Amino acid sequence: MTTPAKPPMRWSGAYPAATRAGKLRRRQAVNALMAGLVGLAAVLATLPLVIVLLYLLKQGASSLRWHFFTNMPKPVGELGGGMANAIVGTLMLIGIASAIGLPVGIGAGLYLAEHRGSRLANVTRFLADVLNGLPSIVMGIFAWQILVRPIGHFSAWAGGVALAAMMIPQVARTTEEIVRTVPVSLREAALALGYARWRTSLTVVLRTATAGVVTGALVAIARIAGETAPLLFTAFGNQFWSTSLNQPVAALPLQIYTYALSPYDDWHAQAWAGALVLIALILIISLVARVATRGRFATASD
Amino acid sequence: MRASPPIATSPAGEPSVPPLRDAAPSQPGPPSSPAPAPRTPAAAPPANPPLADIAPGVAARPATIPSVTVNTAAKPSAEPTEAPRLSIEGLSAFFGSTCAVRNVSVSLPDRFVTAIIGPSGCGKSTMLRCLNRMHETLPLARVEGQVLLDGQDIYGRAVNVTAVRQHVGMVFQRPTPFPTMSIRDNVAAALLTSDKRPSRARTDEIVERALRRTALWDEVKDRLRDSAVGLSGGQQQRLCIARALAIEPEVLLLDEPTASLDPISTQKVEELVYELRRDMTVVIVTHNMQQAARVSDRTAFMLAGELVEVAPTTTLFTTPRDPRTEAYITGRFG
Repeated sequence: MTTPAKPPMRWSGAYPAATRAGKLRRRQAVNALMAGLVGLAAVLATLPLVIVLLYLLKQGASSLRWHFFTNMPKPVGELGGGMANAIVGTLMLIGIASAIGLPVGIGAGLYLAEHRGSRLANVTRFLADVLNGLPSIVMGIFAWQILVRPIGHFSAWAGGVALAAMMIPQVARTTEEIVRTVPVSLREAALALGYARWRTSLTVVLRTATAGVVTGALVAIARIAGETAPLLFTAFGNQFWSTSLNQPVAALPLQIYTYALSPYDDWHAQAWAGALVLIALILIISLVARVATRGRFATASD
Repeated sequence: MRASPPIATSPAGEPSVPPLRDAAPSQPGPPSSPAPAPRTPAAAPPANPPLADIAPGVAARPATIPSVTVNTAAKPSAEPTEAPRLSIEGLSAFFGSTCAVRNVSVSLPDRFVTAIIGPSGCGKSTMLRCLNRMHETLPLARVEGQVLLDGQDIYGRAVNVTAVRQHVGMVFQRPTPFPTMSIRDNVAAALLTSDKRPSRARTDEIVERALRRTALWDEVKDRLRDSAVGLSGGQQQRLCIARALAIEPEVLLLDEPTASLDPISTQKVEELVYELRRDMTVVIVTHNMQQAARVSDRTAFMLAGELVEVAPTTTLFTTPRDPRTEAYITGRFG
């Protein structure tokens, strides 16, 4: 048995030693350069958030007093005005939108993932993507046309429905993506135990994907919590205390919008404080939902 | 205890599938204990005589099983005369237009371990998955032919798929504990689907019995509430077997159950498989011919979707009738 002669290996003498060292240095330099560029991109990505937060703190914290949370808006020039009604109103709107949008969105996402190739799934996925790109003002006009005009007055639940309609496609798509990461072997194990398909989807697949689905839901909630346009013609805003679902209701984004457009300095200050509260509100909702759904074994599939 | 409904509504009073047995003798009994009486209804004659056409003269199950020292006394030593638990008739399985299993007919006698061996891609896993209708869960999958469980076709019109899977349990190649459930809840998972959900105390009993059967009880009894993901691979696989056993299936399908395990865990699973034959029909797919020789009473050899030969394990490994079988077991291909 004879082995054919091997070609000389490139690193063992094909190039003079000096050239080899030069190539290595060049590769190391390129490597360092690319790592630096990617790191710079990462820093740039977080930079706007940091600047916004710092600026909000600087501008808003000064007018953030306890009465901001407990008092109603006051006329210009009067001290001690607050946004109690807008904070409650925003919470109401988020509640309505979540009560409608999360079950529908998560259910739709589960369907998209579990019946991946069906015609209905393909059509739904496409429409959800289109809906995701719909300008929010269009959603507001749509809600006004079907919910406000026939009834004759603005209302909290019209605003909630408009926000829910914005949530659904987003929640559906993120849920689908997360559910698809659950290993097929888990699904098969459940089916092989005699689980019906719906039970497999709910108690094994969705439960395994809980952490990711919650994250997706939180992102959607955070997004609609700051929406102004869909509320302009639906929830409308309210200078007075109202917790009725049938009445126009104040909301932080609307209040910020109104105050920021006004020519008064103390209203400007209140708008900054409102923006800070809005951000804090989203942060708190995220934290609470995360802690509440963490459970003991909620680590995603591993 | 009746943990799962019969497969279909029985036509005339006679249960189409016998109720799941009480698994009282889960602990190994004394060697002299008599074999349980056959439960197959005598009214249903075997559709085809068990294996007579394929391997005539098969009589003795292997007298010695190398390197597994477990109690084997409660085993009937001759080919059973009762109707086979599972008989497969003209079974073909397809993925789209690709035929993965070609016209297989074989009977699996009750309380025997049947091993299916063959090279990769020969269709042995696909055939196994046809036995509890898991094949059809894959896209484009299709099955032709019949699989008779106690004389009733599981592909019949009135058959409830989930009931079939409760009667024919399955364990996969990789351990698949449910990551969101505790050890106890994993074992109890299948009980939730039965018509009459057992009480909490009863569930605890069933869980303990299933874990004892898989020799896992002593290892996990102090952490039943912990996540099942924290167990080792071998423990996870035994947990999956316990999960399948908790609903007392008549047939257990094992799809390369030790392929991802270390030798010690493999031995534990093999001993467990050897124990299980007292209570149920076991079908095990394996790449490992030594494993087939160690744990099985009968071995089937598959090649390119066809069932080449099925015989008592010692016969198949010592005096195979088909030259292809001989070529495979002597290592000339595969």
